[in-house]
Parts: sequence; structure tokens; C-alpha cells
Amino acid sequence: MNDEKKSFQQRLASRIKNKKSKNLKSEKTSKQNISALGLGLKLATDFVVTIIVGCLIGLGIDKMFETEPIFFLIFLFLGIAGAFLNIYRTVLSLNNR
Amino acid sequence: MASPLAQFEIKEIIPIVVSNYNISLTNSSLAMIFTAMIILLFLFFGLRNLNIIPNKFQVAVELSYEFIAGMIRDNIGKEGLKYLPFVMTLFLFILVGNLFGMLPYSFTWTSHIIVTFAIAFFIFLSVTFIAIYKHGLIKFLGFFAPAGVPKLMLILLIPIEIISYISRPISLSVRLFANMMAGHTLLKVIGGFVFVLAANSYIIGGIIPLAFLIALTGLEIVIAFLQAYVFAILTCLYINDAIHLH
Repeated sequence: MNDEKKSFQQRLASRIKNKKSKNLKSEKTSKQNISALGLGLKLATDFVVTIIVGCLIGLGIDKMFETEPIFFLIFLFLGIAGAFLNIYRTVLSLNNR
Repeated sequence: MASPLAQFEIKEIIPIVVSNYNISLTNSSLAMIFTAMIILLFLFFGLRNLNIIPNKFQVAVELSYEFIAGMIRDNIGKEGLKYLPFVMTLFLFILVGNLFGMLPYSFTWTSHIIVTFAIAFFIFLSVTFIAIYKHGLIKFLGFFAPAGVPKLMLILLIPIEIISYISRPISLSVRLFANMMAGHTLLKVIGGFVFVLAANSYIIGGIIPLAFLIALTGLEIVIAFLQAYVFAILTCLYINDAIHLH
């Protein structure tokens, strides 16, 4: 009787341990997946919007001084550089975490 | 059949015009009022009678508080906790607004760029003011010139930094707006497929797009949560940048 009880408790403990580690694992992966989707959306919009903002600033300066397309082109490339800088910084902060 | 974009149309419910400015109560502002009411009711019932052993509402309210407080502690640190009411209001407002838009016959006010841009631009302005208030104007302008860079490179780097700083509120608002609008349009388009295919093939053809529609509705609820989360976490990061100007 006592022996049976002991083995039951052992089995129970191992079951609980198993379940706990499984739960922890699945929770972690699902959280990672969701934040990965968020990260992807963030990087995509950051990339596009930075270039668009650069273009708009260039167009605005061009309109003010009537120097089309010089500043547009300059700020287009600055915008692309800024977009890559943003992505670089986001990834860098991920590595440091 | 109505266009998939008809759901985003603004309709005046109570027209009000004050000296050439149209400030009517529209379906968008009504949806915002409902959103605020839902949040108030949620907090009211959660905090009505506080117990050591909480009931379900109290657990939900405490969880949402803990969620935001943890987010702020991770991203800003202890001194960021005084911005908790701001971030929590933003998070709850956008989250409930997104989820409210998932109800049939409701209106998704987060799918309008002017609304999201107003929120994001307010965050941008306040973060800039916090930075200037805490560190002074000179040190704030130093934010645009990273330390340890050759002087010649600064000519190139300062405009890049300014562009990426200005693009913050725009990318913040465009992300929320684009996700909500694209998701709701997609749901409407696939809903149209269900109707057309079912009508032309004795119901059977409608089953496949209907399955897609159900899956996409689930995805859209995930996106509703995710976008509110991303909005709040980016607000935290911007406040962090303003407090610890690097």
C-alpha cells in the first residue's frame, strides 16, 4: 500500500513537471511568434515611411526655391539611408536585449 | 453590392456647424465615445469592490495594469512609471477601438489616418517637449549629431537623423491605420466572394471562402491586439529616448 502510494506520487510529480515545462515552452514560442509579426510590420512601415518623408521634405524644399528635382533626389537618397539606419538600429537593439 | 470601402465612410449623425467649422457628431466620433464608455465600464466594474481575492473583472483590470507597468519597466525603467496613465490610456483606447471595430455593424475609427495621425503627432510633440524640458534645447539638438562621428560625416548624418526623427509619428500612425484598413477591406472582399460563390453554386462554393473568412477574422483580432501593443511599446521607446537622451 505504502509502496503504491509512493510510486503514484512519483508519477504525479513527474507528470506535473512535464506539463509545466511543456506549458512554459509553448507560451514562449507563441509570444515570440506574435512579437515577430509585430516586428515585421514595424520594420516594413518604418522602411517605407522614412523614404516617403525624405521625398516629401525634398519636394517641399524644391517647391520653395523652385529647384526641381535637385533636392528631391538628394533627400530621396537621404531617406533611403535613414530607412536603413532605422532598420539597423532596431536590429541592434534586438541583439542587445 | 456595396463597395468594400463603403464601411469607412463618415456619416453625420447630428450635424453641428460652428462658424464654418463642421464639428458634427459622426459615426466615427460615436464609435470613439462607445470605446471610451466600454473602457470606463470595464474599469468601473473591475474596481467597484476591491477584494484580496479578486473577482474576474478585478483580475482583468489588474492584469492590464500589470501588463503596461511591466512594459514600461522593461523599456523605460522605474522613472518611466509616472507616464503609466498616458501609455495605459493610449493602449486601452486603441485596443478597445480595434476590437470594437470587429463587431458587426460597428465602425473602426482606427482605420482613419487623420485620427491615428492626431494621436501619433500629439505623442511626437509631447515627447519632444519632454526632451527639451529635461535636457535643454542645446542637448536636445545634440541628439541629431551622434557622438564620435567625423565632422565631415555630420553633414550627411544630421539630415538623415532629422528625417528618421520626423518619420516617427508618420510611421506610427500609418502602421495602425494601414493594418486596420487593409484587414477590414480584406474581410469585406472575401465576404463578397462567399456571397457570390454561394449564390452561383448552390451554397457549396461558398464554403471555402467562408473558411478563409473565419480564419482571417481570427487573424484580424490578433492584429487588433498586436497593433495596440506595438503602438504602446513604441510610445514607451520614444519616451525612453526623451528621458535618456543618448
